[in-house]
Amino acid sequence: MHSIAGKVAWIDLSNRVIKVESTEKYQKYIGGRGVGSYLVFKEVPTNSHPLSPENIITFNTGPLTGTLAPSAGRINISSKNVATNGISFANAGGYFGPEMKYAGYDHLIIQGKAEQPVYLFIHDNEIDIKPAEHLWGKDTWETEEFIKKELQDEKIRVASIGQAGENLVTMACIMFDRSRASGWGGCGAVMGSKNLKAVVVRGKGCLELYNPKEFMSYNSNLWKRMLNTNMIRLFHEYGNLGTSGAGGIFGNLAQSVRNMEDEVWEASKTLKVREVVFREKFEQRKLADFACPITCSRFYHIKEGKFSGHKLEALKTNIYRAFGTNIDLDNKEYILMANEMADRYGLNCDSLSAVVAWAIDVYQRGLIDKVITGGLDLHWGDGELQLKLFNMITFREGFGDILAQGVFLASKQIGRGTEKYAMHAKGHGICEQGMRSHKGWALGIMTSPIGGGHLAGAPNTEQKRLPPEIGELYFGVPTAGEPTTYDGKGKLVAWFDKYKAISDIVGLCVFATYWIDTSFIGPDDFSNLLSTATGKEINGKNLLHLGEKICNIEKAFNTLHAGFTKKDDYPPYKLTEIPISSGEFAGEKLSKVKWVEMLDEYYKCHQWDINTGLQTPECLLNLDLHDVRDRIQKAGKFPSPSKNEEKKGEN
Amino acid sequence: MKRELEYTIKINQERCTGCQACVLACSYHHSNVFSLTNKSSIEIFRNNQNGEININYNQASCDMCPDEEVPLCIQFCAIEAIQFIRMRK
Repeated sequence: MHSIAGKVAWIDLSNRVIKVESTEKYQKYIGGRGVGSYLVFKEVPTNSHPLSPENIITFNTGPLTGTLAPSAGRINISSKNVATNGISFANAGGYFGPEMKYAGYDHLIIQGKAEQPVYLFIHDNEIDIKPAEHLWGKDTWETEEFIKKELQDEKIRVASIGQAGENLVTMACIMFDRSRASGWGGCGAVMGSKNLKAVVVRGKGCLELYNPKEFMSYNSNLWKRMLNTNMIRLFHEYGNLGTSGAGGIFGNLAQSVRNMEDEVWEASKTLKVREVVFREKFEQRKLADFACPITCSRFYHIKEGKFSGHKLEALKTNIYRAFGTNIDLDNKEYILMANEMADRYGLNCDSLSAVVAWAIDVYQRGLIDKVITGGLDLHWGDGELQLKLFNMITFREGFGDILAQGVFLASKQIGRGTEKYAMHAKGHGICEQGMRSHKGWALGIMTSPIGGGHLAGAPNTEQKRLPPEIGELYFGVPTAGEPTTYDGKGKLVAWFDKYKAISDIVGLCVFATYWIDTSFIGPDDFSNLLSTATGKEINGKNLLHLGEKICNIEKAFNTLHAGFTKKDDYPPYKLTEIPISSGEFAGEKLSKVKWVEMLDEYYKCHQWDINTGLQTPECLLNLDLHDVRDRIQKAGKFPSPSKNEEKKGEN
Repeated sequence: MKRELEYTIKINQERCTGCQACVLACSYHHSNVFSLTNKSSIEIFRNNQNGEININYNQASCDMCPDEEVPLCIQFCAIEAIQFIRMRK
């Protein structure tokens, strides 16, 4: 076996039993999200609660994780989704994934619930279950430092939860290397429900490849190709924040403003928190993830004022949006502090912003009052208030206990018409830019199996204004670069669904792929890297087929566990009813009629039923997913010919 | 007059992003594997608390990748933090 560690560990926390088996058994799904989604589908009982011991949480690396392929540092976390009851996968960078492989394991499957808090220490092919009572109550940064001292090793890598995960907050995430998050699906709360404070790895081993010479020859050309692009130069200069956040390099990119009410933020505010401001004021150095040529990250140091002395790796586009524009906050120090606090408590920025911005929004609309907020006056642009709410949510204090459920359940509990201002997809809070103006982007977010997020099928081609001939050549969609065009976007999103799944499966970052630039890693590059690394020939077409298969396993999980149908792929009220106020896309919103047409095209490309959005037996058989077909058949969840009411229902 | 030259590499600690690509490239050169431990002439430690990066370069074990156009660590350093230095003996 090449380019893999060779072992999978099943860790039963209830009985403190660890079983080790060969990774070979899971080669059909290659690795990463492929193996994670398959295991969650297979192992988690249909009626189980995501926070019960029946749920599992998997840590999955891919065969390229830990190699010198571009951005080979990824780790996938899969489990049943706390916010949606459907599937969850969340992918993180940093250095944990390679270290786990060097320590001897490709996949960890964690089951049951420990009697007392524990952490796992994986090193030199060994797995120890260690007590963590003394770590319970500590934030992720304190936890990491404490464990480093305890194990007397500065080089260990730590995946931990903060107090949010311990307190089963729906938005809780898992933090790696202090600043890297597996954000989605409440995976931090799943760890918390298992009394699992951290997973710690230290690997001194190495990865052997099938044909290292050919791998390096191909890989070297791939790095050169990527480094010769303008896109890489932009990332090196401006980082993730400058290229796609903070209004982009020219300040004109769509944003998510005041609970996604608008896509245009006032220039006076944007100018205060442009990337250049953070760079000049706080930047200490540029940082990159494991073996990554992109260099999207930055290390900031606040040197004066109230928060003087704070240092952190920070401020990706999502965080800028979540704790800046979406809260109408133009104070750079408070945005950085919100970043730090979310990292420490272990809170996902998107779903956290969704519930905080919603609370301010409905308070400002007069739908809730101080009786509900416990005396808090909620208003936009208040950095101190934002930090206070993070605190109340994490420790479930007062109004924070309602918010800790996430925006969907919080709005259901409060009612009073607040539900329509809840920005969510399938029950999971969202905070995204440009969903009214960029139709394919919006479709990818709303159809994502994990409940929103732009890391499933959402294409980036519209933001990049891809020329028609390039859109046609690469994706068969000449309109790929036209933001406001609906036509062709169903096909585009269906393609990106399966394509982006591949990078999660093999263990590379989507930033290094076609998603960002068509000179980056494409299907044939994945194929060449994999074949030379593992010795198992697989071409680009077959990889895309596998991507499609994984998307269908995830879709089936959602059908069986959450009962999602076509209506769950519709956008929230604000996006169809409240237009963009000004700028290039003034007046733009999502048309319900066009949305359904776009969805129908998307379902057709996936061979799903256009009336219900459900999978058909034929589609699953074509993908050789017999076991999946059987389970859906048994549950009676295939579309019936009479079930066509939803087709027109929402027009 | 023919001059005798010797070669070394110089890593710019301020510029380094800590990505470990040079370490991996070097481990491949020496051992045909990817590893961060004991296989490479370069060791990089990134302190995520204060953003500092420490680099250990073991010149004695570095052979400058004689079969490559330029040493592999340089080829895989995306931000050009490693320089090939030529000097008189």
